[in-house]
Amino acid sequence: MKTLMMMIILFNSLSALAEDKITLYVTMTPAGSFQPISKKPKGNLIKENGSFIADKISVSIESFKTGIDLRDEHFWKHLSASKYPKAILSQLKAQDGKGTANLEVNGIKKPVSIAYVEKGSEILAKFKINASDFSLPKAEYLGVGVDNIVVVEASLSFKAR
Amino acid sequence: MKIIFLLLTFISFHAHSYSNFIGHGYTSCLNCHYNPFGGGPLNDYGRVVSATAIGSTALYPKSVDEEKLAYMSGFLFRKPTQNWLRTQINYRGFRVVRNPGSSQNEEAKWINMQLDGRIILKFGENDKFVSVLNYGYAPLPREVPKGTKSSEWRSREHYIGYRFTPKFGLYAGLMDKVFGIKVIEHIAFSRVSPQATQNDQVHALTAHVLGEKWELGVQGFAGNLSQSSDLRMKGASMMLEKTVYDIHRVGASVMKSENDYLKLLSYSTHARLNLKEGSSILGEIGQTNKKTGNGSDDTTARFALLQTYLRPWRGTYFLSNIEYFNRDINQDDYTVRWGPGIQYFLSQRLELRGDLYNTRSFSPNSSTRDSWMYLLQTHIWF
Amino acid sequence: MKYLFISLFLLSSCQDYNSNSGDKGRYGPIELNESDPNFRKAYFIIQDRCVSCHDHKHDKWADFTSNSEWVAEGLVISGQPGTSELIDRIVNTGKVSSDMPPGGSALSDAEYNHLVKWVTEFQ
Repeated sequence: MKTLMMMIILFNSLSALAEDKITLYVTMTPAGSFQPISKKPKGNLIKENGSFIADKISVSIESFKTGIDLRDEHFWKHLSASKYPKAILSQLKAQDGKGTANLEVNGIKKPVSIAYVEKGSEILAKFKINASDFSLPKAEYLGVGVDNIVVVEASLSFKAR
Repeated sequence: MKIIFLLLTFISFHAHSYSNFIGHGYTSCLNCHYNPFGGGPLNDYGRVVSATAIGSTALYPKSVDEEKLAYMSGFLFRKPTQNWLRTQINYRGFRVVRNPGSSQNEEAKWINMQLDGRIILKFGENDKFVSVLNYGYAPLPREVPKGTKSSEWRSREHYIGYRFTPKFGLYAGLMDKVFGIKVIEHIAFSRVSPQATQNDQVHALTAHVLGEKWELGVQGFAGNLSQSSDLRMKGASMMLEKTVYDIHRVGASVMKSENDYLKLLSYSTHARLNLKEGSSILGEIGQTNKKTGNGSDDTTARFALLQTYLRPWRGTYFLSNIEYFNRDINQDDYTVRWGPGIQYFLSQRLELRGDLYNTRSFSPNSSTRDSWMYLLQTHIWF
Repeated sequence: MKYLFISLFLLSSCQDYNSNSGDKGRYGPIELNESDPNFRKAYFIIQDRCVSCHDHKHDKWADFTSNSEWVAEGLVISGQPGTSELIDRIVNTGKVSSDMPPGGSALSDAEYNHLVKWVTEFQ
């Protein structure tokens, strides 16, 4: 039974590596962290002459899961999902491991600098944001809060042109 | 959210810490417990996590949403009226069967393991000042001969704590020793060998420091002041944990303690790995150097522990436990204890647990029969 | 209310049984009345592996400090470990009825062999 469970978990982990995925690394205070994860980003990432471009990659806020149902609801509410249902990464241009894009969250658009690594048919991109830059209020629940800095990691497949 | 904050008072959780909850992203016990090293009552946040992340929703109709579940985690389901007092009642009992199936040696009994009440006073922003009293019934351990006069009503914890900053706090009073992974199995070799079991609380001064990706505990203790002075284990301990690669934790502990008859020096290193979605792996290896006053048992013992917690769905954990113990590393004999378990949080106030243990002694020149034991535990709290 | 709590806090009784409650008996100074060179080690093995349960109040052999006391009580037959009750009860003998200490933690080979040697060479 243990072996079966381990195999199921391993399979799911391996499967996850092959999917498009957006992971947010949120640090809690006083300690710990959680990762809202969405496996439903939408959009096309194109590789052309060694550069990566994407007109628009969007993800539904309510597609993010944190591992705890109540925390999911609080997360969606905190990002005003009912009013701004999607986070959008637009005008993405990247080459030689670096790039830029515009990120729109909570109705506010800000430029972000991206670092990425190409792995087979997908890229693993990372960038940091300050939650306060997007007018997101400080989150705290019963004495446990979150850091202002959030690390965003996107695992996206691309098509070569 | 504010309504939930106001409504969710009167603590609702139990004595033991679940280090495996790193699987839910909680690297530090301080997120959920008043005691920064775990164990003892849960704070408001911890109660809500227990109600909304741990407990199953099987008993509730679909009309009861997560916010309602969080609200219901209050003491006796009552709406709280203030913010400075929390109380709890907690019961744990189990049926233990030793040598099941043996016509000669099977032994079965029900044990009321724990019945206690807790009072917490807390003041200041984010519970800056806390005082905790955890008092109740706990039977004498099995190895204590019948007729031994010793109270079965005891305080497991009573201390005051002050957090100077969210990252630094001091605690003084009776509490568990700070050492290694505080697994809930108090018979675990990793707890017995360094004398950090459920009855080994000490009067101590403890410092807790949180770094960005690390955590430190330093404790000086004067033993249990209710014992006669010659028996009190006096000493100090330190534990350091660091977050590595994502959200896994590795740590090391050292503890030195002595009384008039015994000196112990224990070290261990441990790891707590987050497998996501509530699943985790815990591991610890360590050693205890023992020197006795009469030279009868000057030995170095070695222990190891590996536990896995797999959470296939909310409310349920499949467990496995493997332990190793060598009482004297100068001998080739050692003991292995292993077994599966299942933990089912039927609802937020009810835990059912089953564990099976096999204990086997290995020695180069003789063989002995395995020992089997299973426990069926019920845990209820209000 | 605060003062009541503080009073309760200070007056609350503490547990007095823990891992160290038997330390004086197990590790405290002892005087042995026996010249048999094997006795001392056998005494400490019995103290360590048996007396934590079979303590001084309930089993008088926990206090035996000489070979003659074991013989007088009928628990050891000099030179005959196979028929001495002390040895017979130890799980290391492999007998179905031998189950001490309970819980699967048998004596080490060295411990068991020494007890057998002590009884075999009884003086």
